Amino acid sequence: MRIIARAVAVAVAGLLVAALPATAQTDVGGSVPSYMELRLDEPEGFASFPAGAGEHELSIRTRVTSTTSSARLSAVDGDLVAGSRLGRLASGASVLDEPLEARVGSTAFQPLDATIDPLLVEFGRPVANERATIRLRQRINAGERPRGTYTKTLLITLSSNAP
Amino acid sequence: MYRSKLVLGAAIVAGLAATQIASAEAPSATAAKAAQGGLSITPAILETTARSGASRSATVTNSTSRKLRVTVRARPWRQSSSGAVAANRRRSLGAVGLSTSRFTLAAGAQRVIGVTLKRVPSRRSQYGALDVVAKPARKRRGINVAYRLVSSLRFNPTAGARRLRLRAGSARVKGRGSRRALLLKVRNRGNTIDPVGGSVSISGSGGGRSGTIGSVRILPGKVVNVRLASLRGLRKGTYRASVTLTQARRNRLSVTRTFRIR
Repeated sequence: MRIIARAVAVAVAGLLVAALPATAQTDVGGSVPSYMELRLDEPEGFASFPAGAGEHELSIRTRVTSTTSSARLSAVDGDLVAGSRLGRLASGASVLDEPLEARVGSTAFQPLDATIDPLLVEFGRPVANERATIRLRQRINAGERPRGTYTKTLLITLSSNAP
Repeated sequence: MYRSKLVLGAAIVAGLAATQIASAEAPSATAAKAAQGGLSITPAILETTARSGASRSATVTNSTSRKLRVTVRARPWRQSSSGAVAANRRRSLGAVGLSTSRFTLAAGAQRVIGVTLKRVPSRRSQYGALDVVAKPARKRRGINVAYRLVSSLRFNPTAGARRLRLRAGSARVKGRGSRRALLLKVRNRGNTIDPVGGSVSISGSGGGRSGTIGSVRILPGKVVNVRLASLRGLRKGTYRASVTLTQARRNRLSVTRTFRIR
């Protein structure tokens, strides 16, 4: 009995030593510089469209890290900053009638042919690896006959929301 | 023999428990690997005093597995009436110089960008955005996504050149129901972007309330509709709002505005 009691005491002592944290105190400090990071998944699609009117959608998954108190995510045309082709898919001289549109969550789709960057989502606090899925939509009008392959560079923008 | 086996068994139990506690606190290697990949910039706010030749640097890192073509520009902000800002892609800041503006960043590589104030503007301060665009070196058919990070550049006036001046315009009611709020037009006539905040007290036939005003940064020369208070729950009628605006922890302006809830 005495042997068992001693063994249990040793085991308990071992557990206590392993489980209890050290109680020494020290000051830990440092300066962390502000930081922004954007991660994107490469989407597949919109190279060509089936004949006939309709709506075509694809999504871009993003992850955002920002230490600023307010940041915003938007999508803008990366090939142009102005003009009639702004925000529109083009195949050579052929340009689609409707602009590309984007949204995050259940908000309304916003056209990408505006001169002001459309706000897709706002982060009113610092965020780490926050997920946001951007939905892109391309509408093909009745009577429109898309031909060939289309290309467009989209700038997914993570921006400070305060100057 | 029996005694030594028992002691050894107890020690193993204790050891296992210790291992369990240690492994529960260790970071997961899988999670760390999954957290890689993207474009980053640090610091996200470059701030210094506006002196000719004043400089700071930012580091851009490509943690994707692809080579990226990077373009960097210093641009002026556009500020909307809500206070939100966006970099103006059609313009550049002539007073700000960059050590490099176009380069290729290999997978996993980083580059330091020097930002210098070439000359101090007459306003004695300069605010703007560092616009970093990174496109994949190879373009595909269909949608190509590229990275764009827009961080803040702040060249603040020297202590002697600092001017804090605000001008209040008209007040108006915006929204309906629970989203109804009172806004006040505020112009920043100073040369800093110190946050503008303050307090408001509303009184009228249909009730009253008081509270603090959420701070907002207003670019010099710009007008922003500062949200004073929610009007949720206040009945139809005429009200008086007494507003005290503060900037840099000092009372800058006290105004009274009358408004009506219809």
